[in-house]
Amino acid sequence: MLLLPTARVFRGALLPLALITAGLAALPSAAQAAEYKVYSPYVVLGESEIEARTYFNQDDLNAVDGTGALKLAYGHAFTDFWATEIYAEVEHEEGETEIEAIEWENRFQLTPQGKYWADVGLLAEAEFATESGHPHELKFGPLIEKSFGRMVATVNLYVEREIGPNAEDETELGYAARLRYRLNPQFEPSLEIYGSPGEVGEFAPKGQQRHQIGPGFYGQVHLSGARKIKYSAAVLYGITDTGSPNWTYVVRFEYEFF
Amino acid sequence: MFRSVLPRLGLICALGVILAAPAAFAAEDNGYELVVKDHAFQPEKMVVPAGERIKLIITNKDATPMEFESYDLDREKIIVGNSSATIYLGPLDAGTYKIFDDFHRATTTGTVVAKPKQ
Repeated sequence: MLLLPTARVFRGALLPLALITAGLAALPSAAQAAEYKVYSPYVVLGESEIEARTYFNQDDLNAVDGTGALKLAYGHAFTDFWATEIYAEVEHEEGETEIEAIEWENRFQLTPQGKYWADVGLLAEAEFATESGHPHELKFGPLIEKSFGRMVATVNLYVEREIGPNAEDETELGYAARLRYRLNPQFEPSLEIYGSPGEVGEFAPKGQQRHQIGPGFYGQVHLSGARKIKYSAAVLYGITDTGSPNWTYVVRFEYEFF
Repeated sequence: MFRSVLPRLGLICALGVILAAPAAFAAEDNGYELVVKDHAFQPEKMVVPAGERIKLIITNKDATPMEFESYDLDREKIIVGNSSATIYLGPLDAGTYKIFDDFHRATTTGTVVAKPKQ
């Protein structure tokens, strides 16, 4: 552990946490987990973060239109190769706000940045449903990033498996990828793609697979004391008929500190 | 259940290894040393060859941690007090890249200058 000032850390964390909590009131109803995030394989020792990300869907189907979710998280990098984060997945339905699941996410940086042709990490995640009778979920997969000058390409592949009560006996394949241009710290345009073709070895019919693509941007503002606010957003178009919402709007905020 | 999952997880791991296979072509070590003492980079202007991969060894001779950071170089690395860390850069285009210690931004700033080889 680093010998870094902690009192300042907690004071600094209060404001973003209050803003995030206040934002819950505006949350649309939720239907599934907000997974619209591409992970870089890097870990910065001693860095903590408070994160909020949300999305909502627009679709012709009433059951999908207006659905969305919010994830709130606190994370810390205990070593220079392992960062862990605890998420609360919050849903707001029919006037009630409740925590739907708790996630334990672990990221491992496997190669030093820039040493090899590409940088590689690993994501391992366990999601625990808070409602009885709902299955838990395990997620696992590689994180790969490669820079080409100012262009950065990132690919995440993962498998998801339900366990516990009422778990489906199938392992799903998913992916998230991003092309990001490092224009300047405050604004980096991106192209993002997310999806899930279905069960490993037995993909769903094309129209029922989820594939979404669209533009986005990333940015960060440096604060004093090595603190940062990072923000990003994306608008995703559903490529497939029934498997993807017509449009998904994604917003993410991170407050990083030591 | 796990018996049926394992082969699939194995497949995914193998896929990850295949994707990471180019990592086997490691950068050759082309080492340069940068020292941080009294919250100042020494040298303040680090000259390195353009067009080559380089290994930059940063030694923090202060007792407090520092965060080597550079948006220009796309690097961020914590170096605890009285220790060293290595970062890998490049191949860099010729030019000047700003660097700083994010814990002491007012005092600890410098540049990495990539120059074409004569």
